[in-house]
Amino acid sequence: MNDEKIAAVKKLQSLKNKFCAKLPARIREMERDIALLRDNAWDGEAALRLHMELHKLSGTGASFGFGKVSERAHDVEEYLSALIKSGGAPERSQKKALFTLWDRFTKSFH
Amino acid sequence: MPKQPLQKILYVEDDPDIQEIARLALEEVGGFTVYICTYGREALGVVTQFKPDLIILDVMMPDMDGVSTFKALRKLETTSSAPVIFLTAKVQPKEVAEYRKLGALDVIFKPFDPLTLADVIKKIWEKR
Repeated sequence: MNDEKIAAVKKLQSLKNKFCAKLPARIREMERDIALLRDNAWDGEAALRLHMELHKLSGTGASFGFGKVSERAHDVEEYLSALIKSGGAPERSQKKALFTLWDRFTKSFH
Repeated sequence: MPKQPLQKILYVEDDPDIQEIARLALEEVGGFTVYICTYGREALGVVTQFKPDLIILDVMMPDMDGVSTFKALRKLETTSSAPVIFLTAKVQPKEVAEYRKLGALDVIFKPFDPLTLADVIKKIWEKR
């Protein structure tokens, strides 16, 4: 590995640390949004915000070495995207599937 | 005629984390001169001065998405035939086909490996 790559690996580690430090706050924000989709509620704005945040996490996670986080975020993102595109509040079974994917996603941090 | 070397890259990406990783991957690992824009509209204003050899576009962005930015860039004289790569999250094959049909040089998927992204781009540049 040449000097540039060694320096890049060090910098990448520092970016990863910054990413990890911000993660709990980002998860809390997303949990606030997912709560707005539970039970009888379906807040379209919250669904869009959540979708965008999942999209970002899916795109960055694996670049920092968190492949599973990226993968699971992508699963929720894709399912949520289909629900958003279909318009209106989803069926109870669709919500259940969404929350199952969400739970798998949150477990991927441990 | 020798191929023009790849030196200047304009990257349009709204996510600050990806911006930082991409800067590291392209500038420090790849040795390119990189200008990063957060929005498509910003890129339209920058291209005339910066004159990139290659433009990399994220697809999902607020306000003006990657495809709209691509189409707007094609209308500008400076970038009417500029090589463009879409750097996007995993998408359906039909979407990839759509980007290629639009005239994109290639499509790279996120998440990418910051230590090898520059090599991937160099290979795409070489075979164009």
